[in-house]
Amino acid sequence: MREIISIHHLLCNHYLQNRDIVGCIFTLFHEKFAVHYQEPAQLARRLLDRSYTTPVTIAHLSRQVALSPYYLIRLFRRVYKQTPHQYLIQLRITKAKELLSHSDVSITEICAEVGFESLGSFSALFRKSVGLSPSAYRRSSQTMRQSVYIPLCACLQHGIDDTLKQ
Amino acid sequence: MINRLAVATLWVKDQNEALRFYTEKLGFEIRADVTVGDYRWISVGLKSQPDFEIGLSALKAGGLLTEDEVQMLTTLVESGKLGHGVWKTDDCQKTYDELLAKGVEFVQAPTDRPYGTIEAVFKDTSGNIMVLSQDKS
Repeated sequence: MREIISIHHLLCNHYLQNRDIVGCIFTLFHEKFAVHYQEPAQLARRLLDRSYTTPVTIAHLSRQVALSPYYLIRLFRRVYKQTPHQYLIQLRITKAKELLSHSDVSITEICAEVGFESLGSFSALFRKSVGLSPSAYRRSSQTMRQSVYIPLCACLQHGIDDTLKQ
Repeated sequence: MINRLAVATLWVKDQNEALRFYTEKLGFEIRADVTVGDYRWISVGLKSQPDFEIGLSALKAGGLLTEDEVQMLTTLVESGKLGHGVWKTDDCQKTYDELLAKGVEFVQAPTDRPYGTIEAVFKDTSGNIMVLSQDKS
């Protein structure tokens, strides 16, 4: 496994100099050893789960899991069907939705609490992702139960069980 | 013995747009909003009917739905051939006026029906046809 990781780092280092050739090798390498690389993606996800309230960069995250930013993004997307950045934004928006529905914390405080540095970008991202502004979402979701579920029929139709296993 | 209907689903072309329509225009509440990976389950319901909710199901390929099936479903939904519903109101004309002022698209103004109701017909943002119905007596 250590040898595999060394080869991987070598490919990462050369990737920027010769994208086409190394990219092909990368893909073959990735296909062959993908199973072993679920672990770094899972680690990156755990790190994001723990640190979403603070500023997180892909450079910092990739150093923590000892992968190149390029390969981490590629690997993460393969395992979770979204980039680490998309996952981080989704995580922050999900936490914001919970706080809007089930607390009296002000929107400005929620913005800071879930890791956004600007109220403007939080509101814009929230609206783009959810469909409503944070205040409209709060108004419409006051009676939402704390524990909600996806009906089994919808899970089966959309293959949700497979996603949950990851 | 089955007791009641708890959840029904509607196909929608854009979940965000549908959420805005059902909450901001029709005044529904959000009952559930769960995202798992790239799948979002969102349901809405009426304040006056807390034990029933409608899932706003995205017309999007994935799971058991193929691109071809999504295209087929989208055509049917857009043309109002799939996803009908009847919403009851105490005053069809008043509710019609309120919803019209909010920009809801009606395909029929309040009309007396021979079976004892006054009914208007509107479309949601995806094309689903809904009846606004008032019992006359």
